[in-house]
Amino acid sequence: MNDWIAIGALALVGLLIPLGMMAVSYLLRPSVPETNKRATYESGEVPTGGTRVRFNIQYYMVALLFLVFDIETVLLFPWAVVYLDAVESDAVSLTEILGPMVAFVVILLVGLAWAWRNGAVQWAQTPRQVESDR
Amino acid sequence: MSVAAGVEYYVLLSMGLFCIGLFGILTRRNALMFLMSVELMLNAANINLIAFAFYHGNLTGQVFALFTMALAAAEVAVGLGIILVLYRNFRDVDVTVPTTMRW
Amino acid sequence: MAVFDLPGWTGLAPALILAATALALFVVDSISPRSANRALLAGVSATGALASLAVAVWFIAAGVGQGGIDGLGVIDLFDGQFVVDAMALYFMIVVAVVTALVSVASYDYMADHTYQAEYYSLLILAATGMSTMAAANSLVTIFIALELTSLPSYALVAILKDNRGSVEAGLKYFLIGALSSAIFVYGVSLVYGATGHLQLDAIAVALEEDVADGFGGLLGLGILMLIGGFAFKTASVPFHFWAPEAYEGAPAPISAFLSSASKAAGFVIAFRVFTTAFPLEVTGELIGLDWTLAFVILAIVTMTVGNFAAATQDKVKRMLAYSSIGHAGYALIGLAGLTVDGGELVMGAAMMHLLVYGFMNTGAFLFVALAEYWGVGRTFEDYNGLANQAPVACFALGIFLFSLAGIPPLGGFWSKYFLFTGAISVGTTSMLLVAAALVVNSALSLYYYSRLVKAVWIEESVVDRDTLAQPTGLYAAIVFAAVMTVVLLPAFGPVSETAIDAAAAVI
Repeated sequence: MNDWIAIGALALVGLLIPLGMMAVSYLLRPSVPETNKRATYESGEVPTGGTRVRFNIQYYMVALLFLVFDIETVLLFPWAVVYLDAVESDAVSLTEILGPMVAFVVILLVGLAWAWRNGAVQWAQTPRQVESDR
Repeated sequence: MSVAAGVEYYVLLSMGLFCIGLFGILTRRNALMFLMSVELMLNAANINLIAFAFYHGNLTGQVFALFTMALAAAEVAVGLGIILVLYRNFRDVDVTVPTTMRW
Repeated sequence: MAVFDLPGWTGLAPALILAATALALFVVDSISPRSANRALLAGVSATGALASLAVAVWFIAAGVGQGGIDGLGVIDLFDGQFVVDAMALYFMIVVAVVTALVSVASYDYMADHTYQAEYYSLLILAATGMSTMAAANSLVTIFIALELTSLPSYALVAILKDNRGSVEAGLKYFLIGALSSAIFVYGVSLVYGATGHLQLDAIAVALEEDVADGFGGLLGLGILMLIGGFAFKTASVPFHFWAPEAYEGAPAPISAFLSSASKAAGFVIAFRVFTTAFPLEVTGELIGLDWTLAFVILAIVTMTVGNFAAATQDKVKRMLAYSSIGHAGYALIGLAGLTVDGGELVMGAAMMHLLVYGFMNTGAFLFVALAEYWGVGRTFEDYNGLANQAPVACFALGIFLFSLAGIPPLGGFWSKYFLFTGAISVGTTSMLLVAAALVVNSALSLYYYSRLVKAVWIEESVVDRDTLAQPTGLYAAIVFAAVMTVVLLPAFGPVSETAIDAAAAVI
């Protein structure tokens, strides 16, 4: 039960400090209402347009590739965990432990090469490329 | 400190998560919300798998949870692609808008 | 034969060949992404599918999965994660045949399409998944194979990116597919919770050793959720909504592929999971209910819903889509008819039906592909009088439709006959009910199938048509499917033997 008292005290203090600081600053600061203060902050520039802008589709392509290849690493993880034990033991040969993972990575590489060749990671096109597409 | 919480609490948690996901699927009309709800349901299954792996003392469930995560990512990738062409054709991501065929 | 000398993993060769083919297609496309050599791509896919078919047939001929003196026994891989037995090979054959037909037919159908290489590699990847599914013997491998089938299928249905119908179909297929796979995984996690294993034989052992005592409710819920996953894949009742939409919107060869191969693959895992992992007696004791009851209900409802909805359609593709739901109902009899001490006759009959169905249904959908290629329209009226211009294809269509309806001399009659006698021989009241439903529904299906035959052969064309082109690939695929539908008749002895043996081996 004592543990919980400590945690509760911590939570209370954690809540009180920011609230106290906000109260103190409210009491101390001068009040100068001005409309400019309510404008959207955009790095000091004059804000233009809405917040719902459309991004270049390339962001999506790269994010998608990242998502897939990043997640595939979870399948490397269990392999990496047993790798050292498997190398030391005589029961499995080196090809048996390396082979599947090499095959897996090769398949991923084929996929990456395909995506690359088909322009999934091509961020911008030179005018000549745009021309040749037409 | 021992984590002696019974496996039934984890099952309750995962069932709650599963039902939240199911509720989202049944009520939301936005395709992206639908995807998120499906993710909730998949992760509910992951909680179960890991809790039961701990309970049964074998690693089968944990490894399967890894596979589930990878497949969920692949599913999202395909799903987002489909939602993208949906938006291009129908100018909307509402799943009830496309009704060129009878439902 | 030389099968003895090969290492164990070559047992999966039919699936591995397909995977290699898909990778080869990616490499071909990476070398020259801008040019699309249709003949090369279609050729590579068809060759891969045929090689996979040849290896699977060779394995069966060499006796893989058969006991006895000349049998090589079942090949067991990766601690039983995969098992290559007669049933696996049988379904690998079905998948490979349909894939070959579809890739040949797509050569013409997809002629002016931008994404050629993508189309064929997705097709072969989906086929890889189905082939793997046939051999999967653990809930892990089953789920991975299921997703490997589903994900390319979603993209394939929506591949006509600028066609609203195709995109809509892809979306609906994806939404229901994602939902059902989430339900399936949750079911897997519950079964794992109750038994502590994911490998099917180990689940059965755990159930027999009473590991799962007190978890009956969990197990029952898990099994129910697994059935949900299978129902999606086989387009059976609680998850059949996607089928008419997806089949109608998708490119017709893909509809053929999904409604034949994908359905067969869904059934093979249903057969394997329920015969291997959940032995009737112990599971029944544990959850207090016989799971065949669920399949009895599903079978009757599925075939009735499918056939009655098909009878009211006025678009040909949609009619075929609903009839394909009806046929899923027929194949479900295979699971409904299992009993504690047998049932290999019904299950073998269901497997036969899926093989025959692979030819006749693929053929019928490919005829729709041909009609779309001609651009004649979608409704029954649009098909009027096609026989004047294309008698060969329309004759083939007649064979497919009468076979689907189950008219005596054709392949479809024999598989339905075996299903009927099998159901009668089980002899319980519910199975007699199923048999009666089978007969009533087949009679009803004759009505709408003959409606299409009548439109094509007897009705006069509404509009004047020019002579229609005869695309080689589509014609070849349709004629081959028609020949196989007829030829299976004399071959039915060996086919039924193989199927019943394969069924007996897993039970």
